[in-house]
Amino acid sequence: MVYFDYVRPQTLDDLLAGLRQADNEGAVLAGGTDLHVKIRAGAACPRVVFDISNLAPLRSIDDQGDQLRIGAAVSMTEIIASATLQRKAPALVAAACQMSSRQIRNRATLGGNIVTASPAADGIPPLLAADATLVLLGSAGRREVTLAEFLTGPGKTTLAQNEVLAEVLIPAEAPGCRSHFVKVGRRKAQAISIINLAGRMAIGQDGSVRDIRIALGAVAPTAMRARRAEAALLGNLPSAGNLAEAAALAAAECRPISDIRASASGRRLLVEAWTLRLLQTLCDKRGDMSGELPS
Amino acid sequence: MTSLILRVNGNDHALELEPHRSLLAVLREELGLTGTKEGCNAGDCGACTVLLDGAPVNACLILAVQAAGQEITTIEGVAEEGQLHPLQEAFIEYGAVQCGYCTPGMVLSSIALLRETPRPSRTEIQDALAGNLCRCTGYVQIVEAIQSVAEGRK
Repeated sequence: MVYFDYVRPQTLDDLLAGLRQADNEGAVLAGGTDLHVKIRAGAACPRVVFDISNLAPLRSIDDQGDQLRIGAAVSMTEIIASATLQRKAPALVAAACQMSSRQIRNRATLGGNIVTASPAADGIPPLLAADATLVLLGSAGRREVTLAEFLTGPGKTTLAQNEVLAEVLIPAEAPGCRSHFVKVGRRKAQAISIINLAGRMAIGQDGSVRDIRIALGAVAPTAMRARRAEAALLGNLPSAGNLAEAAALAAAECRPISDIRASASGRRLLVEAWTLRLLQTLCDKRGDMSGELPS
Repeated sequence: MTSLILRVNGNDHALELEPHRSLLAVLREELGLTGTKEGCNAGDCGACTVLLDGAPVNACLILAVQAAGQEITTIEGVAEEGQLHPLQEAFIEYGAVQCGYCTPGMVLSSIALLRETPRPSRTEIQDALAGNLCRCTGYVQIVEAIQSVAEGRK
């Protein structure tokens, strides 16, 4: 049995002061769907938990025109229900819809998903594909870091001692941009992703790919951009040939491991098949997302 | 020790609790409301599902102190004045209860579903119940029981 004190800070200043005073023995509690599991498994031993689940500055979703701002303590259910995010961050909404279960989604937060930093996190690839930035608050004040820089390994981030993730900033998509998210798991719910992917594409007036981002999860120590796949498409007219080439490059450049959920070679197979379908969907070509692997 | 008031099934309970205790443990051990079950204590099985301000949540992953100020509904709060809820009657009629361990969570998740989506499709029912595991029934009778209520047959 792990004992800890519980504090519900009323302001961000109170939160930061409390974390400083707890001197790295404090833990931030939002949804608790990761933290409590870790505490019970002995993987986290805070002396005090700071409940941010009702801290107003961390709870809102704002469309600021040039960017979307999502507070770290916004729940998955709130993300799904947000008309703003359904319109402007549909891949993130799709990811949130496929996470876990309703009970978990009603509590789990976007900030928690990012800070837990599972390589298989579903919330991360859509944000990576959108070049999201994180706002961190701590002793050093307020700093911004790209999501890509923030993630350093399985469960590891650059979150400093006594620092808290406060906001997720997503640059607004250019008009005509399409995005999509795919989750592959052993079940339709309550499954840790075997692989997941998010893609974003904009096609120019001349039909060529003006912008392309492909983010892969669960196939490397952190979610990653498939940059070689992207490079094969950028500036080109999408064709069956170059979509297949991009999918093959994505499969080659990812670095999966074999684990309890799948083998490394199986993951590469899945990355190739699903990257192709993702790209077909983004190009508005026939993209069969019915769940059957190609023969 | 923290002093707090938990509002459960419309009743206020003044409690002195250590903050690390889960809502699940407090409901069962302090309030004697043992209808909410512990299946995994990790948020995987849904046997501990309660409604928090109407939303289904796993009570094992919520600290009791976090739930102060919110409306908690447990299975004990579903039947009114001794009259079973239509879902409870349907569960009995359709054989959706075998060992009964998942049932409180299933009923609460279904209540939340029907409030939000009065005529859910089979897929919507399955999605809403994805967080409630059953080892006995194979789910078919549970879905049929919910459909019968949704279609106004109960």
